[in-house]
Amino acid sequence: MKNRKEKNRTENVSVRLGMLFRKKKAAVPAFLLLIVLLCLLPQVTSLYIQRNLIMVGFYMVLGFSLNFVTGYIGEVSLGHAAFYAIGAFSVSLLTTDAGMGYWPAVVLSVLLCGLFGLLLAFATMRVSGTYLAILTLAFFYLVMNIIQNWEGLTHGVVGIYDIPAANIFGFAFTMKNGGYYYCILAYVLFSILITRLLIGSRFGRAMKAVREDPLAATMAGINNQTFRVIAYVLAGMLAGLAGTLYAPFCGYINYLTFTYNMCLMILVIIITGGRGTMKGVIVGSLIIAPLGEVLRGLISLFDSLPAEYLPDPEQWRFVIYGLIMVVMMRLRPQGILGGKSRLDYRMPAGLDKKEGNG
Amino acid sequence: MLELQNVNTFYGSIHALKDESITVKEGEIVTLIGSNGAGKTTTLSSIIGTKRIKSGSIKFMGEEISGRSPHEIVKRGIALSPEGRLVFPDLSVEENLRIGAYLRKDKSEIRKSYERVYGLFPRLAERKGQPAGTLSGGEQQMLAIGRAMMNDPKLLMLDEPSLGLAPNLVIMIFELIREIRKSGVTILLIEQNANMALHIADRGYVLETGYVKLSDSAANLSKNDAVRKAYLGG
Repeated sequence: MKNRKEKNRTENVSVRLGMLFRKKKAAVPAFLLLIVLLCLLPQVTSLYIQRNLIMVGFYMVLGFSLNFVTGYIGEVSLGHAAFYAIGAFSVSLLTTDAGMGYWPAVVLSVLLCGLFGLLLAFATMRVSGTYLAILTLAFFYLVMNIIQNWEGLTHGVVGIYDIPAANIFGFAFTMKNGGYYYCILAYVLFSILITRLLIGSRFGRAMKAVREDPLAATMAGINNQTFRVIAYVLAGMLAGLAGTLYAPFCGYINYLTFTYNMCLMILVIIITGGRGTMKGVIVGSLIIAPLGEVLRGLISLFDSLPAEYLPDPEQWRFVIYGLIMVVMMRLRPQGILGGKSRLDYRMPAGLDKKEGNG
Repeated sequence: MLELQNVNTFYGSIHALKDESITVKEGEIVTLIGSNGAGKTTTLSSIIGTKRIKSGSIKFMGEEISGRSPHEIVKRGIALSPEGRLVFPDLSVEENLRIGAYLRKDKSEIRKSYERVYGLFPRLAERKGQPAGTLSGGEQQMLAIGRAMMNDPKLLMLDEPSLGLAPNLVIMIFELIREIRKSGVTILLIEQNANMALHIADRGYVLETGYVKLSDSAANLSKNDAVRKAYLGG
């Protein structure tokens, strides 16, 4: 009897794991295999590839973070890198100037980012659409200007040197030992897990209802503002978490580390992939994040040209982003993997499409 | 059950409801009729709390509800199916209904509500998994009403349920409203289609530019000359 119960329970767990990707049970072994493969990857790839994979990981976490706001609540935020910056600066200052341990600093920084998320949510409570987008952009410049000018706290334009490496139980992360790779992999899995748990719940349904129609959501007894605020706080904390790893990963950060282009890139990732979907974030960041590097490779094909005709990949990247956005908006506004709404509905058997519905 | 007393509501400087007093008793179907801009929808927004009233009182089951926020009012058992059938287009029919039951936690009660709604609207049961945006207008209206029913309301307010529907569907929706009343739900109905509304209602109020012009039993209203002339086509 007890054995059977136990078996039921394990089955239940595996079914739930399978729901992570909304597929049959076969998805579980496939998913676990994928994780094992991802874990083995740094053993066989060059540091250059590994570095790019880590960057993809950072953008994936940022994508999941912005997805809470843009994907599920349906509000476009143009300043999302602000949270990334706050997380990074906060952890750097706490571990250098304040001499704190890495993980306590991470916890404090993430909480701080949550607080800023709260602040932004309250500040933008009564605006929507274009005005909201402009306010979030203003929030980004506000944060970056404070970082640039508050010399006493943030070292101003000089930036923060010698940020200690992230470590776990005294084991310091480096590129060589794959510490950063595994850490960001864990953060990506954490983002997937937390998104999945939230979205499948009553909470997630309420967020989607707010996105689809705020008035109708109110009529169902949903307090729209509560969910907006929760989404902003969550998004802030997750982006901040990414920031707390990014700072030690870089070793040196200043006010130029976090740019408006970064904000745009996060947005492009979830628009390209399909907002409001998890697979969309994954695919979007896999395509968009390494684009700069891929482009660098392509441009080196023109090496025989005189230097002054050689395009700068850093600049040209944004032309390509623009092109991708234009093409996406024209052909698949719901994103590569987003929205089943455009798919034809399969009529139940026995119903002829031509007869229409009454 | 519901009592509005001398309610005044403003949009900026526009005085939309002028000393409006309305009573709805338990088990009734009460209808508000009137032309565009008479204050019908404003009345509903004032009750549900999306529009703050300036003065007056709104009592539901003996308790003052004016000044409370919509989600608190919905919790007390008032549901509103808004004008223009605002369904969640990308969510499935079932998800739409699930959100209607957002405030409820008891799973077996929620299941009962599903059965009740699917019993009233078998068409919705057939289309459970379909995105709501792909339903026909009549089906979307059914879904909007069904979603309001999922919260197991004591008072159901319907804002123009017949808007933009084919005549045979209008008759069907009105039949369903009767069915819903039979199951013990009080109904406050707003309609431009005064003929149909007075046909199924017990009592009615005629609104004009924010005033309650007339209030009487539905039967008397449909005989009233002024009403016939203005709203029933002579």
